[in-house]
Amino acid sequence: MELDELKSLWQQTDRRLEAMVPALRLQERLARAGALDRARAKNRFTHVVLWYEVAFGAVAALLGGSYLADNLGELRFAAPVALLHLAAILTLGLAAWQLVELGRIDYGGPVLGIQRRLANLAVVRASGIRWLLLASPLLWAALVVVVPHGLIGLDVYRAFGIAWVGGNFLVGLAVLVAGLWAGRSARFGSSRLWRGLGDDLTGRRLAAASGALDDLAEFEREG
Amino acid sequence: MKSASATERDQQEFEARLEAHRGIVFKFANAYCPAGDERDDLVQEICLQLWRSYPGYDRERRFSTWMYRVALNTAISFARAARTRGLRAVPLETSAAAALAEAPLADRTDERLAALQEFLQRLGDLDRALVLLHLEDRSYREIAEVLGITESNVGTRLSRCKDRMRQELAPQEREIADGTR
Repeated sequence: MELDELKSLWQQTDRRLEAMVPALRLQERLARAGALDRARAKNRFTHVVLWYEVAFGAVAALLGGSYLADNLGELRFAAPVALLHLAAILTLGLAAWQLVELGRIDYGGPVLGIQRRLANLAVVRASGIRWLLLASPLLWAALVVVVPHGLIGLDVYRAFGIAWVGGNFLVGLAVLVAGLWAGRSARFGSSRLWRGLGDDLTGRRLAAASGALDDLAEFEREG
Repeated sequence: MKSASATERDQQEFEARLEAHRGIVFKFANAYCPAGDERDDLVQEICLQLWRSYPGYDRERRFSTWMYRVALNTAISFARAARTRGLRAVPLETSAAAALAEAPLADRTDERLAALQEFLQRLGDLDRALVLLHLEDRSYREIAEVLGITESNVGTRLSRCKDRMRQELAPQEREIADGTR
């Protein structure tokens, strides 16, 4: 069976494939395309998540920056808030960059170039989320110091002792290790959200995105 | 800002062009997403993406070339996302082979096409795009333009795909000839 022999057969498949999609009537669908497009664009999950990250990152960066400025002289508060501030700025920057990049992608461009840009976006996003998750015990420990002090003026070092802060870090670490174990042994169940979290945490999503990028590079290579 | 009538004209022009090339949408959606529901979603997604991208279409260029690009970019992204979600594990009986079998069997043409569809499913996303464009009878130049690679790369890769096809489909060809398939 030669590929070239199949060309003419292939070209006859249009009508048959069309018959397999009975619900589809292009004219009807396209008449609604404008409205559908606007509705879908607004509701696209990726965009919603990214806008949420931008908003969250901006608010956290503002609050963190203000708190940092007020507590610059006190290292025990300045150090944890600096860490949280950095995480907020990274979240904000990463989400804003992704939104700009997604908006600039023209699907009418050459396939290899567009797929490379999409794969790059996926790699950057998967890396960012993974680092944030891996740093979460540290961020949690910083949070339990900064939030009570910022909100009600409670100094947890004095009230509960530094061991309590260390204990929170260890609890965060234990949750992270448990998450890694559950993710690796596929114990996150069938929920898409939990499975996604497991993929992010264990690096499976990052590996898949990097693999796609490698495939594209290999495809571009000649001979 | 465009007037309402200009937008309407654009939409009519777009619909007419799409109607003339609708086969591309169905064939490409089937090649990347042979399972029923997801395939219908992909058909709609390709149509929407074409409409979204239409303002950027350069009328000096061939519509089909632009359409191939949009359809392939959408289909590859959709298939990749489906794989990430774990939706790709479609049993073969309900996938390409069975999909084509839904249409009445006329002769061995159907078996050959089903074998071709199965082969396409085994190819990587970009090799599949390359073979699809070749089946659409596009020149090396146009394939290179759609994919964004050199013409010599198109030739090399296509020749590898043809060799692979010969090897992988030889047993099925024998079965079809013997009538045991």
